[in-house]
Amino acid sequence: MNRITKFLIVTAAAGLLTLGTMACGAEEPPAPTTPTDAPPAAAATASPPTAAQPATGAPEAATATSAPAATSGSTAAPATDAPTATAAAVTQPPPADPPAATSAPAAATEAPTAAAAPTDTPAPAAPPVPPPIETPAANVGNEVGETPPAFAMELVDGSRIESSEIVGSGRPVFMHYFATW
Amino acid sequence: MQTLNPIASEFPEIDFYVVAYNEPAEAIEAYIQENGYTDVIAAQPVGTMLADLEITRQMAMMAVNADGVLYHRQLMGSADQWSPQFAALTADPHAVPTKKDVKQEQDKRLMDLQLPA
Repeated sequence: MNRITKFLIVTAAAGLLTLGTMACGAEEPPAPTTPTDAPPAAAATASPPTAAQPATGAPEAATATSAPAATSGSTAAPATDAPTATAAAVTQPPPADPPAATSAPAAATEAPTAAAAPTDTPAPAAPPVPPPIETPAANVGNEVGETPPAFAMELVDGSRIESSEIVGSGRPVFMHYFATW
Repeated sequence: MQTLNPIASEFPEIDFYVVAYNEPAEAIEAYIQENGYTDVIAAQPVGTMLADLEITRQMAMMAVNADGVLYHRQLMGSADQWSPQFAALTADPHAVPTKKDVKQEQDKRLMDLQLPA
């Protein structure tokens, strides 16, 4: 009986140990996805180092959280002398890193686009170059609406007058040609 | 010139030139002084003026606006029928002929260039 009971006790203990280890190992993966872990990481990345990091900041956690803080532009939080680190504190930083790491590149990628946007807007804002105005040449001819060809006349006093002096001089001109025969 | 001088006095904003192309200048000047036609300017053609301006009839008249654009043109006829044109040029020295005027003038010129049957 003693052997049987010992065997049962040992197997039961072994089974409990395996179940316990399995249970502990199964609980670890969901931990990063819990929403309760995200706020510290978000607070660490979004807010300056005055956040509550030092309270639970183990050395590993401090280094893990300081890296994204440095990438995000804020100053690194000083590592405090926390003697003991809880399992939750140790397991929290890894899940906090991916979002912070992904958010930092996102911010980095947004920055160039935001900086490139102002460079794009001035180009269309440039004043369009007006096309050259083509002035039609004066139509020279004897049709109504045309400019008569150049000519010259001689006045009764013997002086000569060119058409450029009388036509287009700012006064209308009437010319009457006749012969007496 | 007898009918033109009174019209010229009514439109002092327009310069009236009378070009007699078969009389000497002295004869024209004596005629002007004798009749007191002082509102017109007598002149004679020089060179190929008549050919250049296509003066193909014994009498021809042409009006040019202040910009040098031919406003009206007529072969034969009388200047006393030009009062509307003179009034228009007096009101607006830069007046331009309408499309209707241009079309009518082109038709007249085509008819004038046709040889008699």
